[in-house]
Amino acid sequence: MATILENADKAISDFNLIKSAIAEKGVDVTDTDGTDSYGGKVRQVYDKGKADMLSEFWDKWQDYGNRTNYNRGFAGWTADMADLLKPKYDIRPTRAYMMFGANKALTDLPKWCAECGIELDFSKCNDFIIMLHQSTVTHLGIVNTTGANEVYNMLGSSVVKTIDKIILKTDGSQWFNTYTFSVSTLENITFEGVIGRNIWFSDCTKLTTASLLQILTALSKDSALATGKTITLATAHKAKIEADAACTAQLNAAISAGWTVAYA
Amino acid sequence: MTQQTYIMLTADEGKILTNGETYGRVVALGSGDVPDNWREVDEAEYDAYLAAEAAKVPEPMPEPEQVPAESDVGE
Repeated sequence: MATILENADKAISDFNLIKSAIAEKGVDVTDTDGTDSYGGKVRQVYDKGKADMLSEFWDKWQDYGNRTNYNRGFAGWTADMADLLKPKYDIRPTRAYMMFGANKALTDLPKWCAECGIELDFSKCNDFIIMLHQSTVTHLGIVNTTGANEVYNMLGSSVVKTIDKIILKTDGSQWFNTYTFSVSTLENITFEGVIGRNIWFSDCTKLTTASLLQILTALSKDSALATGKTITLATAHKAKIEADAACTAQLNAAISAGWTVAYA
Repeated sequence: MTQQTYIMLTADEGKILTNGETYGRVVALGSGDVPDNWREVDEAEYDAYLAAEAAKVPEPMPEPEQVPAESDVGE
């Protein structure tokens, strides 16, 4: 049978082994920390291990910040995975095909970026096709589309309500199609740059008057660009435009420049 | 007071106007556009156009092993 002294020595030895193991895993243990703190420190080791593993995952997945192909990048993430969806590096996609497709973990992209401490920069992106397809994203921040000649099916089947800003090329050369912007949930949108090709907002029945003014203002007033082009709006937009002097002025200027305005 | 006149076309009931590229129930013609560029068609043609456009947007996200190649997606 061991003596009390031998038991005490064994306990001290065991505690030192635990202390060393905790320190080896990156959690500080000082000589003044009581042994009663070791339980909490073991939990810290576990939490740190989880965080380190997640950090390493994003290092590899985002190629230490060099990843540019985000095709289907965040597609299919479910709502209960939101806490894990914390990219470590700025996201600068050149390809964003179905990037957030069927993503149910996110609703507010600018808020998500702020929480992650990252920037989402689309300025080099040349493929926006169905970027938000069937996702729960309602707030899209600034989308710089100047890296793309064609901005097709960007919103697709989505529930986006607010787009802080769409940045277009200033020469009006970009192509759009029916589903670039035309989704029924869209209410707020602003533009920088010039619309110089046919464009559709016919499904966006909830667009605010301020958004309509943004759209009409962005239409090129250069007849060399505008002649023969058509903007398709919703029938519901007609009364809103006619009730607002600024919208009416922009509409008239667009028509004078050559834009045909269809209300579908 | 500034006044602006332009030609406004309105489709008959059950019809819609098209210039072959776009559709509208009411169309305000831009400078240089003329009524002859537009014709009335049945709403069914517009519905078919919308269906064709919608078909370019892929169906719900398939399981990973069934995800189509990007070349399979329209546009």
